[in-house]
Amino acid sequence: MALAAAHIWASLPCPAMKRLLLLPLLLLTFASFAQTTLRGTVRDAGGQALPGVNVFVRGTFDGASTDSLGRFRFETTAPAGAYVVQASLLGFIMAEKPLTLPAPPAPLSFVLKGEPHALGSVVITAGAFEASDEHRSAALTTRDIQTTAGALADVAAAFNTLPGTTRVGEDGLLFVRGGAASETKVYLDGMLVQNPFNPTVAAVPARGRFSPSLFKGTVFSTGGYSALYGQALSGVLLLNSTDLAPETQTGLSATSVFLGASRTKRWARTSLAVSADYTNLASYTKLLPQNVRWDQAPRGVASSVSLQHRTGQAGMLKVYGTWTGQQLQIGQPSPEPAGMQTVGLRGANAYLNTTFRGPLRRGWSLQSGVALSRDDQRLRPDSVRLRTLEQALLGRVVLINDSVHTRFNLKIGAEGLVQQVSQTVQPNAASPLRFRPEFGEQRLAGFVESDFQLSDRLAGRVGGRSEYSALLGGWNAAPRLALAYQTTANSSLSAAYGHFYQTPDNSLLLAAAPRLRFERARHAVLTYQYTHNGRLLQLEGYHKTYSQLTRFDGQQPRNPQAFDNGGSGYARGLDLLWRDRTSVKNLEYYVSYGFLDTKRQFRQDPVLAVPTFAARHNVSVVTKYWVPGLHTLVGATYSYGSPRRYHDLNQPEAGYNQGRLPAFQELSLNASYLTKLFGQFTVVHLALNNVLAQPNVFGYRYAQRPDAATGQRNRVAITPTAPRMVFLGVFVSINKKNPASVNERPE
Amino acid sequence: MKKPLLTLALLAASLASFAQKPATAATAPAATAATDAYTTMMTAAVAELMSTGDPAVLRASAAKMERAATVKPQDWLPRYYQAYALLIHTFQSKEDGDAKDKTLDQAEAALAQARKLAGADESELLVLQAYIHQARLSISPMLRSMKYSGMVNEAVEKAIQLNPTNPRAYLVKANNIYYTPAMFGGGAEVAKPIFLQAKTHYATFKPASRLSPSWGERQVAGRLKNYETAAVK
Repeated sequence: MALAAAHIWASLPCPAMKRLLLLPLLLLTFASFAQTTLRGTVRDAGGQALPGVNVFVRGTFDGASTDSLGRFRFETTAPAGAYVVQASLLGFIMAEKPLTLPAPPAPLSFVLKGEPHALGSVVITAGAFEASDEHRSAALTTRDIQTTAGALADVAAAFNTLPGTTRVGEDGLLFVRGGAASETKVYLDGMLVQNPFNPTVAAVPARGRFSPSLFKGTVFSTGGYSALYGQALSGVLLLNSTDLAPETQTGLSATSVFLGASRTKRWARTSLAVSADYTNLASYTKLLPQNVRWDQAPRGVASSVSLQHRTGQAGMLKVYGTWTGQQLQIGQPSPEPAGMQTVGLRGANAYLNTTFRGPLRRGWSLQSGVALSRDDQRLRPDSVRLRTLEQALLGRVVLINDSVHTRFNLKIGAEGLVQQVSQTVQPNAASPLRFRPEFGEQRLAGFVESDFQLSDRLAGRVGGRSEYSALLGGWNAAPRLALAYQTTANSSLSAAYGHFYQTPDNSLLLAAAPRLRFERARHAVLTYQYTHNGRLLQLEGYHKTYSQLTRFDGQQPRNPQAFDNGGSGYARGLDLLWRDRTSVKNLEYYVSYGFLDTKRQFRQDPVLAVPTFAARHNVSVVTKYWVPGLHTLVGATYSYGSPRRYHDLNQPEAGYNQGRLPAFQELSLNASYLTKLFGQFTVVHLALNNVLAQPNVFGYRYAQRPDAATGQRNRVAITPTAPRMVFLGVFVSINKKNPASVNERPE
Repeated sequence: MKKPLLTLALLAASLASFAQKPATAATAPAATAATDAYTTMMTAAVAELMSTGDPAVLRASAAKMERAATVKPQDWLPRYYQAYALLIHTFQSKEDGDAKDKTLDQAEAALAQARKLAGADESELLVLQAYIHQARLSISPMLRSMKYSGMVNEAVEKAIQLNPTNPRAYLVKANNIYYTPAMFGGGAEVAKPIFLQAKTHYATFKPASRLSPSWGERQVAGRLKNYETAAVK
């Protein structure tokens, strides 16, 4: 598809005519003017020769560009008089020298100073991975998320192949640098999302609620993030939805597990999209071998509406609403004599997010939003009945001024949350005994931040965030600082430091809200990034300390008095990412490695210990190869995680969390074949997860009581729900591209 | 070493004395003389730009157009041709993608300056913008075709709306379709009628002035000739 030969320059009708045109020109110059030769050199402020500088006599055509040694030489035929010689190069402040013609032939020497860089020209890379098509420094493109083998188009699963994460196969969520899954928060267009993942039962991995196709850019930050984001101790995932949909189209999909339809309509300033999916794994789980018994295979309905409307020159109003309902019942191996335990799940979630951004007066612009969410989950583990209902209203206003000063900008914002969580616990379905724990929270946050540029090479970001929680009856203040230094044109060094606070998890608040406080983390991150011509190397070291983590006595999880914020911990490590898009034609690959050294005491941990969700070494190799002849993109992902810890109840003398699981290994493959079906663009997608059926073990379930005969507790391994996962899907987009032109008469 | 220096000094001195003469002799109205000289110089500069495929010459041409823009700052054409020269440079040079992207950034900066000037031909500017999108696309077709193909189309359609007889709009549109894989609704056969449309419009096209954009006719002819030779095979 190279366009290299596309240009065959147009030309004048014939060379003779060209000569004719040049002739009077030559005559003119010789007849009336004389020539003066101007020569000299151009250097930058550091004394280095600058090539490619346009040096010329202003107001004339006479000039030349400097050579590789910064030298120039040209003739001017301008008549006698006063002139200005100008030296200009993009990215430098133009230099001038007065010139009086006729001039003595003294060499001219120019020194060009670099332009004070525009804000944002030095990018802070510490802690952040970006998936974007717009920024050239981004680690991934938006398409990467959809095509990573093993991720099955799940945003969190795709980011799980980046360094700094541990693959926790039984959970499917993001575990960042020794942090629990609940310590990584998801923001959609700046708004904190209360329930970003579909509900699930223990040992069945969850999927994100949002389709990756909704987003134009995603930032995954594993530490040191901006003061604009709070309530996350370990990481944030920032999702930025697309603006106006590019064109009107209809999408149909039929896959081994779901059927879907969508319709997008585009007007001049507005676009509207609706979609509906029906998922049912019943026939799929019957066809393929499973490790569990499905009494009711997962099934559900998901629907969404999104509206984008451009207001004025730069305003954008977005409304996104989604409703999902799902249910399942699973029979899992149990260590008890029954041999099986069953868990049923019914979930319903409604989410509405409205955001507006637009310019105000005097250089200020506004980013604001309101989000409503309602999440209803009913769990039925054996005879227990558990219903959790969470409702939340969130509002956010950010004022941004990019023109307060050429060297810094200003962002001021506030956020408010009203949240109501209630639970109904019925320990035995046969007995009417019920507990009804609940809590209501009102939280207010304010933040200030400024991006600044100290010199051509040094930029930074300083900010602070403060939150007040009515439920916890306390407030916090979190300073944040980040600096970036551009070491060469292709490399940079960044550092970030900050304090981070988070309200304890809902489950902890339900048990002991009045006794608890904010949990706290401190991050220090140092990053080196090299990027050149499609290759990227990122090396990041970090050190984090955790304090005020919520802990409780594992023997009495329902006694509020057994809870306090005395937990603590640390995490340190090194993350490495190497990505190459250019060395081999049509091949893209990246290799990520994360080293993690962490210990913590939180929740029911009696002592400081390596948490069960942390692996010391994590490796992912992700490759994608485009086979042009077959119109097919094939991908392979290999993941390795060193042995995770578990607490062996049969070896209490060994200590807490001293058991070691086997190492985690998984190879996944996928292929996307692009074709046409009934004249419409179609993608056929095949994905195989855990191709080699590696028998990974995620932990053990222990029996309540030791066996009377052996004195040992019986146990069963927690494994994936199936040895392999196979996904086959056909996606058709019906797009009347180039509809009949309104300027032409229809035939 | 001394000798050439001396000759140079002598030469300079003689030239200097020679240069003084016309300054006093020039009696023609300065304004018209300047305009004529400008038009003549621009004509030569455009001719040079249109007859080269050499990256070095294209760079020099862009620099010359930047100089021309200081001679007549209110004229949009030097900025237009500066953008054009930089754009064609990215197709002809052997530089890597990052360098080409930087050159295209410069081309877009020049185009933005042209857009600000009164009298600029909006349709022609849109065609050039579409062509720049196409250049971006061709740097990394695998990653960029989704996004930029639509942007080329949007700019070209707007250009046609503003001037339905602009042959260059049809040329860029046809190229975009030509390089789009058949399964996405592109390909040589789909592009052919658009190339023919471009040819029709070139036949009746009259540039507004001697300096106005008039490139592309030969490219269309070349493309259509390729169809003939392909058919013979």
